[in-house]
Amino acid sequence: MPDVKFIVDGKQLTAPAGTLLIDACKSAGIEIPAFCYYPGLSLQAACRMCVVRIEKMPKLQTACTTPVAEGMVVQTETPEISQARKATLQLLLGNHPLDCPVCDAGGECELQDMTFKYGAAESFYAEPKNHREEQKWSPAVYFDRPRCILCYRCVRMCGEGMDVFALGIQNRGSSAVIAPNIPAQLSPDNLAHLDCEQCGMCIDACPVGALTSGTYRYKTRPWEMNHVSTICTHCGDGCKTTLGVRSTSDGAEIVRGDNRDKSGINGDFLCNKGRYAFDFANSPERITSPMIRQADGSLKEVSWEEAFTFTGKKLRELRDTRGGSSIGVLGGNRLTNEEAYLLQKFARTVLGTNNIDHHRTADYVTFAQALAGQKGRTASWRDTQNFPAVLISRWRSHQPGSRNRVEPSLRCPPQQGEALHRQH
Amino acid sequence: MPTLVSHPDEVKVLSRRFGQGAADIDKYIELDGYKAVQKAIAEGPEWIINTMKASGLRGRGGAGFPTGLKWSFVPKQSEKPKYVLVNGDESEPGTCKDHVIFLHDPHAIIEGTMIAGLAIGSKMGFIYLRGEYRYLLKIVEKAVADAYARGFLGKNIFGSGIDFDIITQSGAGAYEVGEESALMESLEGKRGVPRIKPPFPAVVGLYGGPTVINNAETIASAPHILLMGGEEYAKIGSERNGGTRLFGISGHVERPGVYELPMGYNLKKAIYDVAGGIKDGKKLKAVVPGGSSCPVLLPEEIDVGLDFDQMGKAGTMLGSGGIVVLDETVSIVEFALRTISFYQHESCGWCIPCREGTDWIKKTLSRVYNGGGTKKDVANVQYLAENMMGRTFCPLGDAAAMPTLGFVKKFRKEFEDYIDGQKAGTPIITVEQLVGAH
Repeated sequence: MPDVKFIVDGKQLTAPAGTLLIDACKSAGIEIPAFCYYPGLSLQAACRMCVVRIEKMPKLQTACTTPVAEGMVVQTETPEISQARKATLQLLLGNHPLDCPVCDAGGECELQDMTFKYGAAESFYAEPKNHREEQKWSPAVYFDRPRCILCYRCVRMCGEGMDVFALGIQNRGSSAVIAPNIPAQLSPDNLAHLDCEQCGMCIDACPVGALTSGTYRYKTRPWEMNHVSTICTHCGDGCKTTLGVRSTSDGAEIVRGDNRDKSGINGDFLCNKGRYAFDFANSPERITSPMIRQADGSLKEVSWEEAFTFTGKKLRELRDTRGGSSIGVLGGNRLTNEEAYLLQKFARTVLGTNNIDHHRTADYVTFAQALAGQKGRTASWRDTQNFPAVLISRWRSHQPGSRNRVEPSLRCPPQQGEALHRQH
Repeated sequence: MPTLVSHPDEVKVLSRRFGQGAADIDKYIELDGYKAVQKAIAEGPEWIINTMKASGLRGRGGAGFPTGLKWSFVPKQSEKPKYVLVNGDESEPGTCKDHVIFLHDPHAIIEGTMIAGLAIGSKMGFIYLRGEYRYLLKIVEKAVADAYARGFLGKNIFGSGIDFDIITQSGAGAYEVGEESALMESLEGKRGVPRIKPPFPAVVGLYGGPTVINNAETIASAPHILLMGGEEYAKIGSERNGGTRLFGISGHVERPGVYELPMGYNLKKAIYDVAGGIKDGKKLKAVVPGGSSCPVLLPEEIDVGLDFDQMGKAGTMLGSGGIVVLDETVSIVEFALRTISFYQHESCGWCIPCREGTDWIKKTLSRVYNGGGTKKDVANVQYLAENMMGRTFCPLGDAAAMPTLGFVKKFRKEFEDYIDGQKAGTPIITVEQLVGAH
């Protein structure tokens, strides 16, 4: 797309034609606030926070639905715009419980941040807030209805993002509510439940504390944790995850996993393993040192040095007495490509064996080709977004990230996705 | 069947078959029915659109967009099928004009739909009736079935080689679905919430195809316009407002009913002459001129012509043609509460200002009405309404804010006196007592 020139807050900007104003501004360092806008998901224009003044337009326009156009003159912060945003926040805060001191999102809440910015601090409503009890949709997902601002991010994340469609909207007007796929009336215990894989993406997407994590809620405050970016070890996909780590008297404790920085190859995505499966770290049953089996069959804890010396000695003995081909090497499915490469290098050059396998036989051919350095290496996630067709075999893979990349793309390719959003 | 009313000042174009049993296809044909569509086939799409443009007909749903121009926006070539949609989701309180057309002259709507289809090159039309009009659906379905039985609909209509089908559909009872894009969502089987515009329906409409969506009265006007000629039709009305319109005059008048008056007809005359004046000789207090979303007019403001431009100049709107007349006995506080209650109930909940704004205005006005009001509440209601205006996703927010603003601005003293009166009188209900009752 050719670039177009336009002016925002007096600054001359350029962006490819068709870029949404909100994104073009963000690229230029001008932040336009929004609750419902979420890159990659369909457009809503529901929260009305991103309103801006565009010359020659009679009303304020939503920056999240307006593509930039040649010669467009935009203002993003004027008294009129600030007042519109403040009024919208006042309306939201009218029913929002303001239980920020005990809310999991307190300190990392978009509603708090915007209220801080636009100063909708005074309330003039005499009527009580609409209160409803919190719902436990599943052990992993809790829903606090009064906190919900109905931005529909969770609904879209679940449907468009994950292709699961476990969340929807019930009722209308001020009774409208986010609802899970097992309604109370169909449930044996008369309570609403969420029947899905519990990936927790809805919790990540929620800008406020309406959706909270069953494993994290009420445990700590966001500012009391160190947010440690790392790579998830549960499979070979290599997703980035951020672990919330809190100091304890005897070391450190992982309190939660989420995907707050979104800069990994997984983008927005994080599966339930990356999000919840960290309790093993502090498990008393966790094996924390190598062990060598003794003559009497028992296992003896040893240091890493001892273990490597022992293993090295045994491998050398085998290679020297029976030849390298007597040794076989199996890679595990949590290895990254780089680790698998090093493993085969070690096997060939040090152990002198070509007996190399990977325990997931279905992937073997491409795997072996990749190991042999052939050009037709395994496809990358980026490739799955661009290939015209993807043949899927043995789905329900152990690599949720890969599946997440492919499945929504099947239904709604990203390139066409934008066009679809425009149409609907 | 409600009694039909009439008055010598009426110009009967749309209503000329009312009360003559034209729901029956033979009677309709006898009264020049299905002649216009045959003329349309003979003359072709360009002629239809030019005639509609010349007629000066402006959309009768309330926005007043020129119909011929709307039809001309539909691209001639399209990969996707084109559709004609008849918006019969007549839900604006005070409005009952489409109702009488469906009741007395359903074939005019069928014929109009066919004409719109011929104009834009569509092979399929939908007639969408509001959920509460389910009882009218039988009449429309019978008319459609009769038209099929005669071969007027279906394959090769009137030997033209053109196919045209009509599907009828009832809504599920949502005011919001009267908004054109929400209607399309509803028709596609989804939640009745509006779509982001642009694109407009003429380019991307129902099922993604180019779509003309018109109010039922607009569609029913088309056959008459083609038969009498665009210029002749335009002559009836006022400047830039061609033809006649069905006005539903209700409330405190001697002879309420639906009257067909030329565009630009004086509102005061419509109330005092056509509808027989204020009931029981009482004094006029206010007029809601075009359905409940239009800002209220005071008695001294009603000497104005009933067309889109003159009403706009008067600070209100022609809207859907539902004129609600209020006499001196009406409490504006109660009327404002009744009005906002409707919009609060009908807000689809999609966007924040409408969903929350209508709710807070309703809550505040309820308390004021029940005796727990303070003068600050009036200012708060005005603040809420002002901050909804122009900020919502679709016009429903404006439809709720405009009348509210009209009431609190023009009748501020009545609100304040009401609040003072309640305080002086008995019983006094405190805010705490009221809100504690929840």
